[in-house]
Amino acid sequence: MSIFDWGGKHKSTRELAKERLQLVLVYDRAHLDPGIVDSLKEDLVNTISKYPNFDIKNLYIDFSQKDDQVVLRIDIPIKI
Amino acid sequence: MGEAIVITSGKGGVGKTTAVANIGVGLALKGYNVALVDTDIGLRNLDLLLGLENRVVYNIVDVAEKRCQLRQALIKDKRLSNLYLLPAAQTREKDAVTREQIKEIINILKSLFDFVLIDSPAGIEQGFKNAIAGADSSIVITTPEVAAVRDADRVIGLLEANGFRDPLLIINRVRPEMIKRGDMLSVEDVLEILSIKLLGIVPEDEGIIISVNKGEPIIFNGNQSKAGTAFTLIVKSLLGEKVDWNSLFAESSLMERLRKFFNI
Repeated sequence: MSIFDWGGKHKSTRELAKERLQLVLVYDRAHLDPGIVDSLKEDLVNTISKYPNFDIKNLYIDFSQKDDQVVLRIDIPIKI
Repeated sequence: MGEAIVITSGKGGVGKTTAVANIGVGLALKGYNVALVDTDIGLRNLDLLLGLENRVVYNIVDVAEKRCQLRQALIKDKRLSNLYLLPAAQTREKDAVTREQIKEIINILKSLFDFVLIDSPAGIEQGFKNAIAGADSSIVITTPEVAAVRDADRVIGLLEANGFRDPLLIINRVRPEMIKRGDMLSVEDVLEILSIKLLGIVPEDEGIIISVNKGEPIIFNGNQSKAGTAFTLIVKSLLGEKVDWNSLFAESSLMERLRKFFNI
């Protein structure tokens, strides 16, 4: 721990380990490689940008664990 | 008919063989007839941990290939007459036996013993599949490290896919002072991540290395060491008794320590 960490909101390595594990296990359990998110995002952007109604800059894509299932979540805001 | 339990981990070096040796001795000390089966073909070690390496004549591959009778390959423990070891072959490959052959051997052992503990090789390939073939239930062992927990998760998934309903978890090499400092995953963290039932916790203990040096599982020392105490509790837990794991880590008061020191 350096002097700059004093009193700061520095994450412990225990928390870091837990977060990293939880994230990697979502992909492991879904038999997906984390890189697939980037590639999927690219494909989505290419497709959706053909339609002007969507705010492609704020596209959000994520895998998360929901009970026993891994869920792919995509949020695309619509321009008003 | 006895129960066959496979002990597995995915990652190597987390304490599978140590757990098999100690739980096996613990069950035998309670009076059960116990057979320990080493399925780690090519990397035989359970014989060493039990101090039985010089007594190996035949091995599991010899039994599978019918070069000897099962009872000829079983080695009786030096200390306990109700504990036996079926050693792995040291100079053969993992595919020297088939799942069917292992299943047949385990089934015969189940008719002769109360408990059959199966030591699985590291990894999730053929050797692992062989090890789980004849088992009724399973124990997964991990340490509070990211790589070990990730591999344990993978193994739990494979066990469930193979019909094992409730794998039990042992968390080995726990260091309470590191957890307190925020530098190690806690028991609760690991349980939350893996979401399976806890069988037990084993604290990090130098005594393990010494016991392996001697070929004498640490549980023989009873409650003189932390790991020995932990394995005694694990055996209780396995037999369905309720165990308070906090007691294992409770700091004893100064008075208690003095009393212990002066033996009063």
